[in-house]
Amino acid sequence: MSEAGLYIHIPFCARKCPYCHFYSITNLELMGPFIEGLVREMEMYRGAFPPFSTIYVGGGSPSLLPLPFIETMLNGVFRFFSLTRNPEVTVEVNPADGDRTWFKALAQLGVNRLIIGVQSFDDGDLAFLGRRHRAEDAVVAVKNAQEAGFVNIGIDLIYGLPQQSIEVWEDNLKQVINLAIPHVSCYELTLEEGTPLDERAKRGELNLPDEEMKWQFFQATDGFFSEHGFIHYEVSNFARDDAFYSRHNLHYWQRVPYLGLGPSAHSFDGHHRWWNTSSLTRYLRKTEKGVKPIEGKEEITREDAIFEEIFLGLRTRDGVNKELVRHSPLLESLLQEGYLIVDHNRLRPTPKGLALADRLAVIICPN
Amino acid sequence: MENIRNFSIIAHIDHGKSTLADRLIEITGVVEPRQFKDQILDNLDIERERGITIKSQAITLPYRARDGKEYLLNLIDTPGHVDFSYEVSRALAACEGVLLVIDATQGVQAQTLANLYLALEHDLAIIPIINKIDLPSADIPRVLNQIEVELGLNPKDHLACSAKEGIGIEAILEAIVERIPPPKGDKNAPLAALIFDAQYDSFRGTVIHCRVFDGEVATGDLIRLIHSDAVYKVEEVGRFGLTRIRRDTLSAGEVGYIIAGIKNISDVQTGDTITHEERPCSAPLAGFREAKPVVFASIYPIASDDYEDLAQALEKYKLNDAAFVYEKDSSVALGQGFRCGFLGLLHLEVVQERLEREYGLSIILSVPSVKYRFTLRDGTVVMVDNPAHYPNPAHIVKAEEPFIRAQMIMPDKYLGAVMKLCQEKRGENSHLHYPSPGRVELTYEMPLSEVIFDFYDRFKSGTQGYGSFDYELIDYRESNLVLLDILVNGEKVDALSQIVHRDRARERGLLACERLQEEIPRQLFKIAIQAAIGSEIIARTTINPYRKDVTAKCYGGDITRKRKLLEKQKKGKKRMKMIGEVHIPQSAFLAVLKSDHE
Repeated sequence: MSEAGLYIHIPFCARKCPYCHFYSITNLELMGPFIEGLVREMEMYRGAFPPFSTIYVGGGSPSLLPLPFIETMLNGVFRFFSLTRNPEVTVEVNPADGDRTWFKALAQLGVNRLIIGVQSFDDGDLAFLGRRHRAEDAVVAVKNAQEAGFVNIGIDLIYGLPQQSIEVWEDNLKQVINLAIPHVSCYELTLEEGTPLDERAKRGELNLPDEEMKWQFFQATDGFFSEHGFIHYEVSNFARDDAFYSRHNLHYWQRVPYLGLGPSAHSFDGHHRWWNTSSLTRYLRKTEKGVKPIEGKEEITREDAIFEEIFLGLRTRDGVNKELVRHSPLLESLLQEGYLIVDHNRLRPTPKGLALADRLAVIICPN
Repeated sequence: MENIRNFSIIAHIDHGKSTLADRLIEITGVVEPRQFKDQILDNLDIERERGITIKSQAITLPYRARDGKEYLLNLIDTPGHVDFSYEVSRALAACEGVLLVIDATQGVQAQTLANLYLALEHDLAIIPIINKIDLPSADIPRVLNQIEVELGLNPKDHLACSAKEGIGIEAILEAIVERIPPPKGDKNAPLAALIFDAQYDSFRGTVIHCRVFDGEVATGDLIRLIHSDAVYKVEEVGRFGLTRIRRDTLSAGEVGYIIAGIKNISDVQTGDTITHEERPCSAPLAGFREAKPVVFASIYPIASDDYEDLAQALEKYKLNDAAFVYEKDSSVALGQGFRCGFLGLLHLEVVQERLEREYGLSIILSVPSVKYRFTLRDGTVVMVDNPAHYPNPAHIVKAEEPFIRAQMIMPDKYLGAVMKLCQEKRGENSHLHYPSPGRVELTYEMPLSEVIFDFYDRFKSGTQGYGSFDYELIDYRESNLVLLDILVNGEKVDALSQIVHRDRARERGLLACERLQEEIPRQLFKIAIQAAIGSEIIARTTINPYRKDVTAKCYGGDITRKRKLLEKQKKGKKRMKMIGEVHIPQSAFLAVLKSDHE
């Protein structure tokens, strides 16, 4: 059965974090017009995609949206699109925002999965990352969500901060177990071009880990979660069991079509990818006129598609169809070195292979 | 002949030689100002970028002097590197005088002196020219003092100009007329003309650039190239404007061109003498030397699909470079390619750059080699310029390598540094000679293989550029030679093999291993790089594998960007050579053949 994913980008933040390159603005007064534009954009895509099996509201900071706006938004989704049975409906939450009533209301609106942007359970790390919440807030947010009835909860954590030790990082991971959180994304701190953090790094102000150290973090994380029975199902993602995999994100890695709404969101219909303008003003102007706020578009050739299948597949434990890769002495060596294993006619990366997924893709791609 | 002047401009780099040439061309009206493109004589991109002239050029400037007479001033531009020193000597042999250009802000510099020595060797009239006098930092009194003390010339003879601003150019033209002697020669004597360059014209074949010393040559004449021992019928003669200007004859004292249906530029040798078939001159002009390649290396396309393109490019390139020779070759590691001969390392670099730039090819060069001589047990003697053809060591009874006699002229304060360098380069039988106070001439006999690598660069830095260097091949001498192989993960990379003196082997091997370690990107496996003589490993380095190379996030908005980024890496990978499972970039091959002291 064909299905698709729906992503909605909420371009508002209370303040910008210095490491983040996602599009958002801090002028919250534009929230109302944005929700209106969003519903108009939905209308323009009515009938264009197969039923959505996942809905993901990300940002930005969706948890800044007052409940009536969330309701308007979700009503728009239900009105203009068809959904599969039991869709996964995720909302990203800033730990500073999550109170129990808000969570309860979300659940009533049909939201069944929360991703809480914890980043760290250490106040020093949080200050460095410019977060507006404290470690304690994160613990409270997780508990509130659980008390509001959410089971499918994921948190985001970041490693590889300046001077961070493996021990301090592992304290973060222990909290995942203590709080009985079934899904966690562990991201290596990435310097994104043009962010304030990147500027600091370029000025030489940050003592960031070298590649060997990053590998140590990666390995420690993998080891910790395998000890606790989690599945390392994607480069940065771990789940207690496959029921807690991010179904929405799996769409991206499995090249299932997705529609992205809101400024800067990307969409994919199987043959084309297009992206919206990264300016809320332009977004509002276009949607008001009933014009899709698309800024760029590309056609995916057959060759591109195969390459995407390889490099996206290699990010996941599921790997790639073996037929896509030519058998060669090089492949044999990669298997021997333990970067990949063959399983059910698929080439699956080992944890060591996941850490090198990009390089593996470049090397084994047939053309 | 009284109205002809043949001259060249010599200068330290950037002192304004090309600008002055342009101004002379402009003021004598050869080119309309609006047609003017800066630095007309440096035709090649490489020449402009490196600031060196590789091919000689010539142009005739018509000039009416203050004495009311019309003169023809033949400006002959010269190449500027030791690899082409023979071409320089032939170009200067075609002149009676030089303009020695000195930058008023920089004063006398290294090449000012080196060039002056060359001109003195040819007994040429020298006109010192102080250029760039318009600049605020110009210090003319200082330069005048240098002209007297450092160059040993009469400062009263100098002229001052700003080639850029067009100041003082008339006076220079007058000085050329007054102070450079007119050519001597006998129009009625048998023809004797010196070939100082040749160029290829796709319509007319080879265009010979020559200076007539005696006699006269006309369309229809049967001419003989004495050293090439070939006879041709002259189709056209003329002199050089901005384009060729056809004339009926070229006579004694004149500089111009001859077109004679010569298909290949390699049929013409710089320095050869042209005479008439019917009434030949009694002896060829002095100073001929066959331009023999002394450095050999193989060229391979990075992508083996490009082999045909490379073959075509070499064929075309060869049309305009008589000194370049090549033949088919193949390598186990690198596939089909060509073995090529060069005048020296700069020549090699020029060829490589032009192939890449003008023909859009990505090529790999093997480590350059000289031509060695081996006597085998069965008495046969083999010449080997390609390490791939190194004989079975068990069969070698005698190994010999070519030696040169290096002639170096420099201010005497650099003598110590240069002698140390020559000894390090296995130099022997040194001789010292003081042609004038403060100036020393040093000769050394050295293995050619030591000289081609980095001798010239180190000589230049050792003399702070104030030395001139030239060499001639003398003989072969017995030498303790070994074949040094480079192995990457146990696989021999034959293009990196080199024949070296045993005392040099370890040092060269380690250097190659270290260069490769720097240039080969890390991969997914540990890479061992080894240098070996036979089965004996004499140096090794390793490259550790990647540990982590993956972006933390790759969601809907990241995929296109990510694909493009990886696509770029894939392209980069395609530009590398696979040796076993190791991708080796072109830069690694080039790094190995770079000189030792960079």
